[in-house]
Amino acid sequence: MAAEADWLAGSHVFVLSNAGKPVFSTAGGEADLSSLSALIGALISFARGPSGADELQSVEGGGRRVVFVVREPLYLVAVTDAREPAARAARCLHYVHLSIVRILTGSIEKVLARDATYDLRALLGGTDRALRGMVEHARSRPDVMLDAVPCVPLPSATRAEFGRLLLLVQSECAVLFAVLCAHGMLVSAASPRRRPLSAPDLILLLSMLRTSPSLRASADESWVPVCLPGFAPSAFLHAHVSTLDGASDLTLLLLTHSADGFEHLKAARLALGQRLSGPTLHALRAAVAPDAREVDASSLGIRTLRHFLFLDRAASAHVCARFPRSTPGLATGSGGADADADTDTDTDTDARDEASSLLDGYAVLRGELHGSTASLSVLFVADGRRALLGQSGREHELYTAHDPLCSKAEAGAAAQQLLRWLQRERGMLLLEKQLAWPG
Amino acid sequence: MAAAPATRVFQFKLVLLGDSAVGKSSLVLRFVRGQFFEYQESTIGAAFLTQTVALNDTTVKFEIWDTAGQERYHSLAPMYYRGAAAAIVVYDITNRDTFARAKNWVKELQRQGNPHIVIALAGNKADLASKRKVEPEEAEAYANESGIFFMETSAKSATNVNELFVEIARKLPKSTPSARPGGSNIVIQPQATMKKNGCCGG
Repeated sequence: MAAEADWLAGSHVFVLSNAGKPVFSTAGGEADLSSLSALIGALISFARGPSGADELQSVEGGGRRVVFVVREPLYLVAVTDAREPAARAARCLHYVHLSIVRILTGSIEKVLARDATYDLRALLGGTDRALRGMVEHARSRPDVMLDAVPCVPLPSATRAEFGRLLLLVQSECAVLFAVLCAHGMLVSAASPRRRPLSAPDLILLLSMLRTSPSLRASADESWVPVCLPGFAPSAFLHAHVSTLDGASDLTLLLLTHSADGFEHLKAARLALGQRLSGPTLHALRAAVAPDAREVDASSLGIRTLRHFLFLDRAASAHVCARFPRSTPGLATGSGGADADADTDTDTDTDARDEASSLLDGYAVLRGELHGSTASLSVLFVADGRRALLGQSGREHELYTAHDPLCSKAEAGAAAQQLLRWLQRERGMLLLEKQLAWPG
Repeated sequence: MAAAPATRVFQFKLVLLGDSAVGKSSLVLRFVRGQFFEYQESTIGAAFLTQTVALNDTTVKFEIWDTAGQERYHSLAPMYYRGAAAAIVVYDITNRDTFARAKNWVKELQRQGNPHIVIALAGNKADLASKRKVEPEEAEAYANESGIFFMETSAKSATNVNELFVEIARKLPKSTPSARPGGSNIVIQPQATMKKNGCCGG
């Protein structure tokens, strides 16, 4: 069967109910999954062991890796290249599950408890793109790996202006959360003082916008039920979604408890749109221009630095430099891991592979930094392709990629220089803090 | 937005209901923007758009709720059809199941919707006549016995799309001019004093 052969190449994600019913598959043809489901069920019960703990489990062999995540009543399975760290695949599965909850709420548990043979695919109709989009995003961007969102780099005054605009919304009506974003990056957000939006919830909202083009293309405004698992996993909130400025892709999300709140939120959106000034929009449009919305590591004038990924813990935000299109490594064939990449001449694939391969490298460093019992705070690895440095502090994590012959000392010096720059530009690079509604 | 002095402006809430992929969004986009996309992305939740229809002596402004057809949104439908003055229930003429679902929507609207709601049944994808599974006579007969009106439409070829909305605009009772354009539908609820489904003479 052709589909079976496909599973032996590329990466795939499968979701099954604990009764073995297929729920979702990136390989398409969920129905064909039935043949696999018994096997997967057996592997999962074996992998979970007698304790039944929902721990990550993975099996490796023949250059392939199978990773299981159990979120009763769902089993999530990733089949990947063994070079992809198991932790990354598990993070991806975790977010696929969160996406399902975002769409259906945690009530899937109740539905399946009533009728274990219920076909969840009926409830998930039309969400294939959203779930695939999350898998693709987890693979190509660091949001899911870090539990952090990217922000539009903005002059502090401009970001403050957007914040002021958001805070006006609350005086209009009882908005729970308000989020401004553009091109999948956060511009500003406002939330109740003690209940800021969690990073996973923000990642889910950004993912919803990214994977639902109808929200922007075919509607002036949309009114969408959405469950934010970090806020309330068993209830729907209602989101008013509208585009404020097409040129900059500025999108406003207003979330409320009230199913009847549309008219109020519509009025609030209108008021906000009217107060949006030309200069503010102009600054935003400049900031989201393709060559401006990501930092180009090579433009910073830091020797040996090729790429970096910075996590700001307090802000739950990250800064990810633009991925280089390809990395001029040392002589080819210097490492086994390069063999596949070298035979691939498609530049698009090269760029995607480069991003994925860098993120894999960072994920390995991150795993070591977090997993070690010693208070390891700096780690350096180098192969023929690049040198990577990871450092974990109380307030941040920083991962940097350097020229392959770079020494640890050189990489460390470059990272320190970069860190000073990041700390100086923090207010421009990210939303330091969500705004809190007054009162 | 001030209406021309001679024209009275009425504002009505209109909801589209029907199975997924029957063409609700395509009908709306054809009507509102004159656009059609061969591959129209699934709607999530409901999309809100407005469009006006000029009749002889009045202007009807539709506040259109284009709802998502997927099963998981079914329980949310009352939120959208509550207070709606008109509904378009859409099915796909090449798919009998969607016709059955459309009948269920009509029943639900007649039981739980606004008592004076104007309901239109639209058999969409009329351009795919060779794949037809629902005959227009059957739908027409069903519409007659249910007291609603029926049209076959094609969002792709723009057949009967404007006509559908204009016909609804004609059928809607008009007594209270819109006091607050852009405001809520509460302004113009059809009142019990109106003659039912009258003024078709436009």
